[in-house]
Amino acid sequence: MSPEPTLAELQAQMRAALLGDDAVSLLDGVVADHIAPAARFASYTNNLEVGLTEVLEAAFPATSRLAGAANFRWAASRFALGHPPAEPRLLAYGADFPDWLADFGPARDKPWLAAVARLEWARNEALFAADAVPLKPEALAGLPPEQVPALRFTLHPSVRLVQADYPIHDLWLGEVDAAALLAQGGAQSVLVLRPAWQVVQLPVARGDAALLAALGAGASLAEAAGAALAETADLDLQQTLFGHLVRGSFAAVQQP
Amino acid sequence: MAAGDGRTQVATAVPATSNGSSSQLPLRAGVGLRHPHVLSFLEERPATAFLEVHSENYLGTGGPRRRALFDLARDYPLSFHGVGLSLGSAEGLDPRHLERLGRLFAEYQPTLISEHLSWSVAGGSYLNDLLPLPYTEEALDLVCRNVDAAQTAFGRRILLENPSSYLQFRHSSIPEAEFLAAIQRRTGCGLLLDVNNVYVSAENHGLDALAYLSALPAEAVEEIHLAGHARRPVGDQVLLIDDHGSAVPAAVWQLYEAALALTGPRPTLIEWDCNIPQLSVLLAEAAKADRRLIGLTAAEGQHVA
Repeated sequence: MSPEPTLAELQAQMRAALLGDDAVSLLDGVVADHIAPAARFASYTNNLEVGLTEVLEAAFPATSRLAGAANFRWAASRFALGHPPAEPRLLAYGADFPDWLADFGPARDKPWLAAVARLEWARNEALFAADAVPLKPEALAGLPPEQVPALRFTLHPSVRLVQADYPIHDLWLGEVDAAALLAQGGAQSVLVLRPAWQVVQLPVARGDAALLAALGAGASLAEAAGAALAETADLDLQQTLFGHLVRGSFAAVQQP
Repeated sequence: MAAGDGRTQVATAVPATSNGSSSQLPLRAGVGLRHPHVLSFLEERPATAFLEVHSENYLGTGGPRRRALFDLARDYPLSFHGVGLSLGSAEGLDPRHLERLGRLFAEYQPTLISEHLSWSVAGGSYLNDLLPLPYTEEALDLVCRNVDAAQTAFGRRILLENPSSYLQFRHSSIPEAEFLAAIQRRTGCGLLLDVNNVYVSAENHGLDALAYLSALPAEAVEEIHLAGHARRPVGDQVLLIDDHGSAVPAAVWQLYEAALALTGPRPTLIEWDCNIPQLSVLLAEAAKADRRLIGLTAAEGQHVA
């Protein structure tokens, strides 16, 4: 029998064994009775794998649907054992999953899966982002027109933009067969935000996404409009801005 | 429209709760607040003595989950039950997690806070389970240091819950109930007695559940947990798995009655975390605990009179 491990040694051994390493030295120190130590330890490995897989399934339901539930569970459990959470807030677990999925061998010929997973993670971030009262359209009422170009907007803290070479919003919706959508092709930029209780998402023009990205980086409205028109030459700026004010994309505005 | 309807309005600031942190939970049954039931609680406010939540689920920056709990805190005493502090970690407690929890408790002012006698963090990874400790003098000193650190960081006492376990370490030298009693004595923490965990561990390791209950300092037990468990066949044997996925079985109700005989009435929680039933089923389980608690309170009243 090996000498008694210190607590730190025991926990390092158990961590390694839970994540797939050899459990021999750990099991050597486990009481053997009517049930073998390996069978007892299997309850813990099963808890870890199933528990984290379920966390990922809850965070990435559309990715799971598109991949097939069994495929997703298998991939998620591979991810979980290689990338266990770094902290106990499981609402933050899965941020690295989309990038990992993009590189995961069996999914490499389905790059839209990782793109949809990025959209789902944006939804998850929006859900737990800081709360803020959205800026209402009335906030700009009565503003002298010559001041409008110099306005600087603060995006609502829940705003996320996801851009992909695939129709990720339509794939996420799942109303049309995925194969048909992919055959049709088409990139989509998607705005995700949670102005109050509910996370909402909508596909936006590339120019709109560029507008929000520029405003989020601190640009004035005039500068952001330049970036927007460079992407979508016929973007209706007034309509686009009004839309963001109505749906709550901004938290504040700073006048010159 | 929710506007004007006080029940569904959203609290934007910490509510002035009447259930301040200095008071105690009622000596009645409460339930764990789980996602599928949140809307029913917000809209219907069903009667239950208190709500218990997993602290780690409320450590987001904002969002509906936190807002709903602020709203419910106006009408229900809260118990915050941690699953991620890892009081048994040899590497000590994560100062960032301690700070986040401290802020959470300051915001919601829960009546009780509790954690487990277990570990879940090693080598910078959170292993998402309540892992077993060897019961040695080294582990006892370590857990006492960590409980002290947590109570200092939070500025208040915590309750420590007895774990369920599927294995025991050969070099354990202190029975679990004595280990808990020693921590309670040395740190001044309270105990959360999970009756289902006592039953599960006793069955899994061939121990005497009643002897375990008797070895705990009954006066330090400030809350009781009840839950169901699963049976996992292992060859021709069975391991009980603490999955909180079914109704409280008869054997656990019996052990609960034995526990109440030792502790007197205590706030009692029904935990149901997977295969979550209709809220009415959960509340019916709580009513079963209530009947036992009320019976006990009535009997004590008669005794005193």
